[in-house]
Amino acid sequence: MKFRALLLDGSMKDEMDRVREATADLLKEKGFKVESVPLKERNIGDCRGCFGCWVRSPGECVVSDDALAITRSFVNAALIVLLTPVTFGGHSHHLKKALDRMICTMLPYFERHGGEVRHPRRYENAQRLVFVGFLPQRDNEAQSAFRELTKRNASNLRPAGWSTALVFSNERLEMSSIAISEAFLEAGVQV
Amino acid sequence: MRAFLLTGSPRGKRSTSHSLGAYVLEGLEDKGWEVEEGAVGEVLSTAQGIEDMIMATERADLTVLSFPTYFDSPPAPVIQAMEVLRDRRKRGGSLAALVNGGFIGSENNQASLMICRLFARDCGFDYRGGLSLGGGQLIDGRSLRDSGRMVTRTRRALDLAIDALADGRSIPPEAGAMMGRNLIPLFIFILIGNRHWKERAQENGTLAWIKDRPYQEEAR
Repeated sequence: MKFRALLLDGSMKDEMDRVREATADLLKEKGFKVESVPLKERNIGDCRGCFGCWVRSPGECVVSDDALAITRSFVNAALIVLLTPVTFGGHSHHLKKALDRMICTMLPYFERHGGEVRHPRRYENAQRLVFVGFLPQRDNEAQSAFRELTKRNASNLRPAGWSTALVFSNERLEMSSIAISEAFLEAGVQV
Repeated sequence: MRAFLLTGSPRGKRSTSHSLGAYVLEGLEDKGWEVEEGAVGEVLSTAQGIEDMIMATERADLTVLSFPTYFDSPPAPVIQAMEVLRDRRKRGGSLAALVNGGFIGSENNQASLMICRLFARDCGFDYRGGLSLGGGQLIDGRSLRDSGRMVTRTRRALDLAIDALADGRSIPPEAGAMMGRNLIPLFIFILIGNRHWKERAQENGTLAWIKDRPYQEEAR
């Protein structure tokens, strides 16, 4: 049985095409069934902050658009790779739109977790997350902010394993592939 | 001197983001500043709105960006507005950030504030600092002047920020420390928060399936 991998591509134009393709090829070689989603081409509305996905239609956003199918894929994937140009140290607005609409994968309640307050997960599927941030060149401040953000994202999403890779367009593609392979290993993905 | 408040909550003027930002704007206005404001959701909906936002940040001496943290960082429309301003804005000025979040601990807004500082760097703003508030839904879009004793510290922190910003200085660390303290104790927040969601689900007749898993599939 093939495990499912979901690649969410938050690129603004084609800046991450080569990295995305190399990542998808790596996963297919290792037996994953890969679904690659170019988010800029999807119809995803902004989260309205209405909490309808908690109290009106629990687990599902009240707005019907491409975010529903993406969230379904997210929930059922064994591995999720989130690709984004590092934007002021964070995610691009394309990736962020998709993430904002995934609050439905949490329960509304609060609980203590790791010394902080968190929402419990709605689903118990064991998942692994790999964040891949893309920069034109090394930028210590942006890299540091991105690592802080992904650490917090992981604290909220609570995957079985996770990691962050940073890749740079002024370096060879082979270096990016190595960084991503190491990130997969760190997240507990056997590639 | 002129200030521009840009609010990043989808709830617009009924949001805690607007409550915080409006308080700062009123304080600057009391000190003789000219003020104007806009909402990210509205400005991004038309080409003219985008132009108006760019020009408002260019003619302002101070832009105040106020938004909620969604999933650890600014909501997508706020990031989109930041991307537009980075790509098209041509003039300097300064930036201050007000960030609020749903979890009671203000540390949950840390990544959002880091993003604001980098946005200021990449956009050519002089960054004047940011303030982080946890448990923003306890204010629930009310005016801070009508929110009682719970927000006394919040108002004092904002008053310190207003004084500094009006003088051309950065937000002082003591304002950040004051703002960052929990509005209510953590265990009370968890108790009343969980009761709130159960009541909302009951009102909607969905409490029995509040934990539903509509997307669960067997094969993964």
